[in-house]
Amino acid sequence: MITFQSVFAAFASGDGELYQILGLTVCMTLLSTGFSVLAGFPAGAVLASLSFPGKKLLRRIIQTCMGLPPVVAGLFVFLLLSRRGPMGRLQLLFSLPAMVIAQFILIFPIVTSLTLAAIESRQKAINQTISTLGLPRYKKYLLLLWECRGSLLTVVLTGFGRSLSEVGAVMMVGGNIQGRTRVMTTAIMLETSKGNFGAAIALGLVLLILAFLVNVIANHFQEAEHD
Amino acid sequence: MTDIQSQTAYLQDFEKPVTLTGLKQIWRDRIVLDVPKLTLLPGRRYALLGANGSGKSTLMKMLSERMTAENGQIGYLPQKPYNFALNVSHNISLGIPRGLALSADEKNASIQKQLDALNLTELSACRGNRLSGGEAQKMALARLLVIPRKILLLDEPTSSLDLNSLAQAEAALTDYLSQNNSLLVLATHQLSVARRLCDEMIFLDQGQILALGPISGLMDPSRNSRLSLFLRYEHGMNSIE
Amino acid sequence: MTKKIFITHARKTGALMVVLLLALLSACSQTASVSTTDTSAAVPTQSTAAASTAAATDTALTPAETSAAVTKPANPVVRLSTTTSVNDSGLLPVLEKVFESSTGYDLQIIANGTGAAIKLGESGDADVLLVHAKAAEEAFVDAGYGVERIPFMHNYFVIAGAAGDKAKVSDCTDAISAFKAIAASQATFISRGDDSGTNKAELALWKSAGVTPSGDWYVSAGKGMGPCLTMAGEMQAYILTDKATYLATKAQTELVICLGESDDLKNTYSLIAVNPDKNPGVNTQGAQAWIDFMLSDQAKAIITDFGIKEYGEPLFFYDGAPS
Repeated sequence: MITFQSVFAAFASGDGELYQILGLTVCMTLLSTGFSVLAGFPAGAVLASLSFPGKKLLRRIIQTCMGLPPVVAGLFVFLLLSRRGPMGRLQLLFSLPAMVIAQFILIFPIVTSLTLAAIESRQKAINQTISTLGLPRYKKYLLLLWECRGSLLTVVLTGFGRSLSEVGAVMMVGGNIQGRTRVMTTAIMLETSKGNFGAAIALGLVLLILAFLVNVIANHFQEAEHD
Repeated sequence: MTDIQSQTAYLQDFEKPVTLTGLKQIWRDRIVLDVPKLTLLPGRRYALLGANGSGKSTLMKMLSERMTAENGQIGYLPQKPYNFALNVSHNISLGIPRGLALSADEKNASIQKQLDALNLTELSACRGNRLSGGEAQKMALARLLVIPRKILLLDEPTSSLDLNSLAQAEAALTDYLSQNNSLLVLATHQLSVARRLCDEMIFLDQGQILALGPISGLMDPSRNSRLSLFLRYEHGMNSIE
Repeated sequence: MTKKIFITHARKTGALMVVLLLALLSACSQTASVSTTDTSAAVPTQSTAAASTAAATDTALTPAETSAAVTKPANPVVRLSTTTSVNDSGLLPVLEKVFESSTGYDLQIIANGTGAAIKLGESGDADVLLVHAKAAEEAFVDAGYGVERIPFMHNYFVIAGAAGDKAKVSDCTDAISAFKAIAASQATFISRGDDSGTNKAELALWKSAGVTPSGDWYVSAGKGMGPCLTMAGEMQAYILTDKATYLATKAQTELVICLGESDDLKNTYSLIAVNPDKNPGVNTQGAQAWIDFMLSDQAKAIITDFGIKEYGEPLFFYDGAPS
């Protein structure tokens, strides 16, 4: 039985279950944010630089996806991975990969849209300067991303925070299985439904501290850029 | 003769004159640029003169968009070049396209040459976005001069330079032009610079070319009245020269 | 030139505001009409129970029914704290409709795991409980939080599993041997893992079977009965469940009952009014109204009937007030 005091005592002593939950949370968050950034940075950079028919529409679609309700994404992935669904044979439902997939669907549009906005402001000036120099495409995109790295770090943080706080979709496709798919947010839900409000609050505080620490570290890097 | 009509053309033979037609731009009911035809001869050095708002930058931008070539043979320096948050050497190296297949040593040598010519050697490790206006402008110029190019389009490349830096820049440019015999279009409002570097002049006023010909035409008493007005104003500003 | 653009912007903003305003107005009028229906609708008395079930949601009532109007009680909100299993079975909404139309109360159903359901009673966030965890209920009343524990209906847990029945549970005669068989074959078993009534019953069975369940095959999901059944369906696993929720989700999970009603699987539901001595703000009258209703013939009829049409058998067995 977890209580308020026991949560912090457990962290101090290295209790298995709580560390396991925290570890799984961090793992899931890193993976989903990582994939979203890996796909979202180039996507945003390309969208910022190219113009093609239907660009405006594509932009609107991505921006709409930013506001996709998490339970909708969760439902979609659930149906996809369910035993009777098209990808049922992979048996990915109620597993870490399923949670990462659902989170990716939620975070990728956010990262892409914010990257697009961050890069757009500078892309004209940069492109004008290097337009005739004969640089290969990928180098141009790398330059764009590098020059906007301050804003992009904020984008990564946004994605990270979003992933850390996600509960609905993660609950649906992960199943909150002890030792397998229980993360901080779903653990808080469980403790609350059990009536263990003290434990839930403690877990919540740990989550906040984690988010705070990440922000502090990131700010350190951002400050280094700005002087 | 290479004809370029309202779309981008890919230049390969730089021995031929280039004619561009239909250089026009209208913005919110105002005619920014209206040049029906412009012919540029290889190896010549054109000074694009005009007051602020006459359409010089628009014309330069259009020239850079209408003409393309591989391996950076056309170099364009915009009026406000972007300074990358990389060190100065790296910034300059961006001007070296991969297609030239230079070895690392050759690349470094070219970069070093530009650093020396423009007195940037001490700053070679500094971040490009931390330089002063003049230093950044020299760096942008170095980026263009680091490899031989057939066409140079420079939009106000010396506007932030003090006399010392200006002398260095002019020397570097003169050197470059004599070595490579490039076609130069230099937009500037600094008449002295124009007179020293160029042999042809194009006078732009309210988007239209009012005078075109050898640079000596600036002194000609029968020159265009608007040109006289422009010179008087500029001469008044630069009376020290 | 700039003036034109300004006017276009102003027009666009104006149009947007008009649209938003219209949406807001229509939403407000909808809520207003709902509440006026509640307060102004004349309601039939208990004697016209049969008609009332059908007419519960109608706003227009026949003259015969409007003759006996019930005044709206002073504190119309009754908060019922119950468990997810009860809620998932679908019984409560049916009872709620009848209760609300015959008494004028507004029943708010809050479903949680048993632990939280009881906690809400302790903190006074609920007026009356409907749970099924005898030990926890008795502790609740003994501590003075509840007025009285009234067990009034029961059903049975069942052990559901995949049609394949890997552990041959269907050959077992009672739950304890079934659990032993599952542990022996290490067949996947889904546990509620949330301290709920069902969970407590399950853990008690493991204890009786002398097994400490652990390992990859024992999946402790922290979820409600319905979602756990879904998971069991997905993973083709065994699960202890109440029959009602099982039947309600059978079509989707495709599980079968491997062990049905056996004595060690009896599950009793109780009503407990929250004690106003510990929490003065609770709606004691409303709680009592709900309890009275649940002990009435009307409720008895609904409960004994529930499920027969859809599943061919009743989901709950009505016992009534203990003597």
